[in-house]
Amino acid sequence: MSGLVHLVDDQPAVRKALARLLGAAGFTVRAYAGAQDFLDALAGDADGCLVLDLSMPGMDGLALQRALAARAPQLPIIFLTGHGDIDSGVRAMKLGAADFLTKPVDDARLIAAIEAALEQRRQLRGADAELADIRQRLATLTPRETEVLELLVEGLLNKQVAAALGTVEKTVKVHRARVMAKMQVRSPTALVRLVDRARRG
Amino acid sequence: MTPAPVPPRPHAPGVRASLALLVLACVLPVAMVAAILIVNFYHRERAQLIDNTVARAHAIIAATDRDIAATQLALQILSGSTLLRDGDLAGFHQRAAGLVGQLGADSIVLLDTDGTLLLSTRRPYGAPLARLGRAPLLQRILANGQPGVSDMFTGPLNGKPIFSVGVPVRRDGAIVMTLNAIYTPERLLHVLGEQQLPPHWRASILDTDGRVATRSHELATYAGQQVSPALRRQLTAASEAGMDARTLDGQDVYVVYSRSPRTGWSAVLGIPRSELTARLTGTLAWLVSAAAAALAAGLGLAWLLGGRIARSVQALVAPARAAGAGAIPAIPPLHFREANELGNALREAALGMQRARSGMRESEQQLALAANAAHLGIWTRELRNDTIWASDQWRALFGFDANQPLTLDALLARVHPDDRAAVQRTLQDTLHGTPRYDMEYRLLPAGGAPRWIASHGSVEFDEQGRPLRVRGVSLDITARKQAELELLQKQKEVTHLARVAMLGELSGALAHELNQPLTAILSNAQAARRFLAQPEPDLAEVAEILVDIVVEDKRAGDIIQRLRRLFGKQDMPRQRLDARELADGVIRLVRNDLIQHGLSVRAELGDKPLAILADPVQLQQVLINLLMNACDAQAAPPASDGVIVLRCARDGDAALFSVIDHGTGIAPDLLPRIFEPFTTTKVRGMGLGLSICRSIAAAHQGTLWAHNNPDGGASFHLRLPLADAP
Repeated sequence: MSGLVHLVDDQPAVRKALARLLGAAGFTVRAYAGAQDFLDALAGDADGCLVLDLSMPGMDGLALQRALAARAPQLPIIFLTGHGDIDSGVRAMKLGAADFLTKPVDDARLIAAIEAALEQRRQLRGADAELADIRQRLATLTPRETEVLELLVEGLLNKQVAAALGTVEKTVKVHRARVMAKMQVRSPTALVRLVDRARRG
Repeated sequence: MTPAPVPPRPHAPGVRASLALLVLACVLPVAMVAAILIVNFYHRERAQLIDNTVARAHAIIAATDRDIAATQLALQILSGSTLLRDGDLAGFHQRAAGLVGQLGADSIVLLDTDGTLLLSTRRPYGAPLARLGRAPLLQRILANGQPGVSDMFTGPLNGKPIFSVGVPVRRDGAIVMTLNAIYTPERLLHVLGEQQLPPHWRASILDTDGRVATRSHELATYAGQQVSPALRRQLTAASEAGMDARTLDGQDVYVVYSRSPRTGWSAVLGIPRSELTARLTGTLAWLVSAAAAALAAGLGLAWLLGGRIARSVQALVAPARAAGAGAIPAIPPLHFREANELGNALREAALGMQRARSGMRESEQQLALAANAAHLGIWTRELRNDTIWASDQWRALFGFDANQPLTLDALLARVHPDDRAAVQRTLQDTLHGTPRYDMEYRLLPAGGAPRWIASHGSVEFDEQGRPLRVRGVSLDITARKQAELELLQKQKEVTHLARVAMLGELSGALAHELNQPLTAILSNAQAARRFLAQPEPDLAEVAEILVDIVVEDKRAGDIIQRLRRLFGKQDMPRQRLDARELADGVIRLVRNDLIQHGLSVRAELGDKPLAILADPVQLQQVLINLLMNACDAQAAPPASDGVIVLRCARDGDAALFSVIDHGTGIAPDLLPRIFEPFTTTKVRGMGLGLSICRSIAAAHQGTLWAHNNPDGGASFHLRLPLADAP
């Protein structure tokens, strides 16, 4: 088991102990003394996951979460809190936190949460790659081909498409064949599924 | 305090003696000055008299010179007579005889150069004549060819003292004869008579040899006699002078003379000494008798008046004593207005004293009444013989019978053993200059419950500043004392409750504070377990983990300890502590609470220790209270910067804690009474926090105050004296 864990906690003793624990559990740990330290060290969309203390002086955990929503939307966040503060937990989860744990935290629970987050990240990353591929294929279409594709996905027949675009059925058939080839699908059903996936993502 | 009587002077003079002295002091100096003036005046007058007398002597001798000069002129004319030139001596004799009467001379004689009498008008011409020999005058005339006058000598013809005036008779330029007029002393008397001298004065004309040529008194006796050698010496020394001398007839005189430069003769005037001093002695005698009379009159008057004054004063002695004894004295009629005034004043003073005494009796009664009503025991302790007097009230208070003798030991025996030493020390201090004292102590009456007594004493001193007696009051304050103790207890309870309530508010944050070490410990332990589960455990790492666990466990223990202290009911004893450390500990306790409110504390604690003497728990309570108030003030509206400053700095002899926020500030109408109990802005709150804080500050000899900041928010300041402050 391996993965990168970012750890932000203002308490030196806690930070040191958690880093040690996660290190012993086989994670690569990067520890930060505060939210700002982490933001300063952040380059692009960070890998791994973030273990974040909720209450800190200056920028607290929720503020950092909000800041990361724009800068690193893919980074899963596991919150640690000293209180069983339900309000904060609900808010954090609404904003997309991966988990919300209370201190003192059991190692099994923490490690499970980190692994879940990393797994989710990995899955997310796979889905992302598929979507990027579809989008790349879509990008190769000409404007006319895109118009044809839109209408086909709506479920229109070739004749109807031609009427809508003010052209003849034969021309539509040529466009349709080109779209199918570029999108690398063999059936209209597969094409619809691809476009639908791209729109959802 | 009564002033001590001035000790009487050992020899205080009486009024009579004093007045006599005054008279003497007035008369004697005046008499002395008068005497000096008189003597001075006498001396001037005497000098004047002598001056005048010298002038007179001068006039006499001048007149004599003129007389002689006139005779010489007449003789010179006669010597040029043709009769003489022709040698007709008989005719010349006749002619000369005719001139004798005109000149007033005794006779005229003609001498040849060897002193042979050629003729004398006293003898008929041709009668045999004596030979004179070379008389001094003849010698002189032959020597210098000038007319001259002889000294006195005895006439060869009449055997009487005479003198002669001679001129040379020349023939063909040579002196062949001398022509002389013989004079008797009486001839010059008229010169003296012209001066009209006082009858007692002695006047003489002396020749060059000091022989009497003429004399005012007893001429016949003294003519031709020589005066005293002393006078003669004086006569040759100066041409004019005065001196004391004795006359030939034995009178003491003051002699004044004038000598002629032409003839060498002198006029001598003798003023009888008795006459010269008569006026002085007369005036002085008058002065002495006048002074004596004035003295006698003055002393007599002094005796009379002194007696009256003394009697007037003595007459008031008895009334003064009577007034002192409280009676209204009768004032006898007195000789002087001032004495009468004093008598009236005595009478008024006696009346005033009587009034004052009756007033004093009244106020004493009132005082006694008041003392009884207030249960005040009054006492007096004479320090010289160490006797104690006490009012009945006091005796009742201390449990003494009305007639029981009071001693210091008996009194101390009734004082509570715990207080006895302090009471004894306070009483002892009155012997060593302590002017007053206030003390509170407990009594243990026989068979009764302890009573609290407040005692106030005031020391009276004698002239030398030695303590004389102590007066005082004692009061039973048992009820008040109990109320005070109860109040103190209540205050403690309220303070504790406030602290517990405050900690309740903080509990969430405190739990979080405790959570931190627990988290660290758990994570460390679990990490260690994982290390140990590895095939080749890193034991060094495990050892380090264990050290961290121990440290964190201690930290947790400290937090719990601190909490326990804050919850504890017992106050901590005052101890020396660093204000900065105290502030730091407080920040640790409230940090998490503030973080939860989105706030932070900026500690400005300085870099030098500030030692104060304080109860750490109570001070923490104050600072936590202030910080939580600041937190509440910031939390209501969105905070401006969310920073609360806790500053700790030296301020002169004190440590100054300041809690500064930038929240809503304190409403102006609330500001004057925020430290009063039951003033609050919180929904849940008794409004006791700040009032308790202020009483804690006061108990530490400190002050607590608040003000709004110019740039928003409020500042609270707690000022405590430094432990080493003077």
